[in-house]
Amino acid sequence: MGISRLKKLLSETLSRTFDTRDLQLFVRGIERNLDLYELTGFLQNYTIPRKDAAEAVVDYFFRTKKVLKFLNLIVFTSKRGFKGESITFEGFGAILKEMEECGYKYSPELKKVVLINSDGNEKRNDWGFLEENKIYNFCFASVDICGNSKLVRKYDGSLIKETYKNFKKFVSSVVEHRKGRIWRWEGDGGLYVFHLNDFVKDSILTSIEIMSSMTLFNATANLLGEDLKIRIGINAGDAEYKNDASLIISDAIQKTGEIEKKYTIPETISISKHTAVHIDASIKNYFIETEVNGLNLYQIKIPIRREND
Amino acid sequence: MINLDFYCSNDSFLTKIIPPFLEDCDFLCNFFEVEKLTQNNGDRMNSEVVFLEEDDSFVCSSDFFENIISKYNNKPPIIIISSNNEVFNVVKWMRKGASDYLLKNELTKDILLNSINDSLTYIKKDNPSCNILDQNEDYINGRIVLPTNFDWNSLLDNQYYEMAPVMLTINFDKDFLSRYSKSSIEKIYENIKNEISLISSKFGGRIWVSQNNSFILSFYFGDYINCSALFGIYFFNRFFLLCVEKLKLDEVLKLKMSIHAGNCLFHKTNTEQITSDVINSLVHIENQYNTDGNIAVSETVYKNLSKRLSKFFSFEGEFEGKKIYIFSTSRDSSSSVL
Repeated sequence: MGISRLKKLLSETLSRTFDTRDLQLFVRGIERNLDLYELTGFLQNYTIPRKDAAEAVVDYFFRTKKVLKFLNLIVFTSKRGFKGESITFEGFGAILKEMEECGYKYSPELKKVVLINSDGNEKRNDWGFLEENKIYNFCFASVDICGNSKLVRKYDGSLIKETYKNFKKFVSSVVEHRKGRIWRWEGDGGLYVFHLNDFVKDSILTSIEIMSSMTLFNATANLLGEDLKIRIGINAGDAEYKNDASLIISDAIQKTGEIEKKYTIPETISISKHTAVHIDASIKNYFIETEVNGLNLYQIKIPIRREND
Repeated sequence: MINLDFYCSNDSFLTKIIPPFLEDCDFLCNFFEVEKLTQNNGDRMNSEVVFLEEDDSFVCSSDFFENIISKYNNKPPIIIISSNNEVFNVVKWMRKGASDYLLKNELTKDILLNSINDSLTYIKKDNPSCNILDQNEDYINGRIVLPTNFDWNSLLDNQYYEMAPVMLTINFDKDFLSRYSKSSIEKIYENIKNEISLISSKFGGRIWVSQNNSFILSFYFGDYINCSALFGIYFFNRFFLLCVEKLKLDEVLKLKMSIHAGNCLFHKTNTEQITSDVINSLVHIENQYNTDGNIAVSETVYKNLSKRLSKFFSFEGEFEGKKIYIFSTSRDSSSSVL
């Protein structure tokens, strides 16, 4: 069951769909130098039986942990065809079902197979497809409750804990609504990240939504005796992905934290200048270009209005 | 009951003279041996005023003074009771941080009460942290609970109910109107209507009347006045996202909103036919007084607002003999990077 059944289904469908020569071509879509003779141990002057070739291929991709790529190739081929011809993988529905059993799911939105958690939760830090130790582009946003140390001194620990828990829950729901992920959280704030689609725009709109919903949060979910005020810093850049998000470090992440902590006043969102380049004019017009302690930033406050309004 | 803690020697005369002085007052006197201060049992104390009997000299007692400061969470005023009448000694204690210095041989009921009252008055009036605590009570009690289970069908036709109607108007620039077709603008109104309906339902409200660019909503369930005002501020703040993200417009439309409260006639259907004084006043406030970019609330609404919301509104003027308060959108530039 599970992986072994998925392997069996895959090798069966591959052996029925491709002869050995086509299978060689097919898998070279991922591994350019993959040689089926080398893989199966058959001599060059023999014809490798389809079944043996398919089993060896499936086993190879599972063994080398390239399953995701392999499954993506199968799904992609089923939709786009192979060598200019449409391909029908027999039992494709059963394969998709078994994939889900094994923690893989085809995401129509992303148009690729992604990993899902064992509990069926698709909200993974890697969006289900990022590979460890590879460098990707992200848009990072750092959010922080202003004056945390004063609040901690002033209010009972349990009230602080509960209010901050509510705050994290509120930020998570807004971030995940636009397919962002929270990579780090330390009591009074954290780092949320966007990678899909128009990730800079998503990051900015999410930050605006968080900031503009603070009145609602403070009126309904804040257990302390005063409004929580937050500030947000946004910066786009690259980072080497790690499965343990706490180990991900990059200059862009560090800069995001600096922008938020050193250059942003309460109730304000700051965006680094190079990130603001990616914003539509319809949004950018509402930001104010400013220089804070020698750093050029774009800033916005809630309620949003143009300076000349 | 106000707690007074006295730290004195074992057989101090204070244990005998103080209780009779304060017997008809609302004070609870606790006597402790001063030596026990040095035994750190980890208990944190919170009495309002603390008295320390000076032993032989300042030098001998100053350590006890520091122990008191460290033991009390609330940092109470500490009154020194001493038999030393030298000015130099008084100065040393005051520099140390004592709030008063009483002489044993001159101690009377009036002097004692005067000193206690002064200390308590100082705490209440001048200590900013105490003011914050007082204000916090209002703030904490002002937490708004959004209604979850509500059924508009439970209201009866042609009956009057206490409600908070909200009027909301979207305005377009002439330039904007010339750039879009009539059907596009109707589509925009439709999308805005759907969004208003979706958001207001989270606050227990619903659209009562909608005519192109203007909408009247009603709030009846739960803390309906605060829910209507909170909806107003929330919608106002999110309006940017609605225009840019949902409607995909190049600019943010002009929005104004008015909120009133009072006895409204309810009818499930033909809501546009309903007339009542509250609705009439609301429409007057919106059309004749309010301007784009503002939320105007009537005096009735403002008076019932939670402390968490009332701070966002400021008095703007009078209209038809009633005070009007406006949601302030001014930017506070006094904040600094923390």
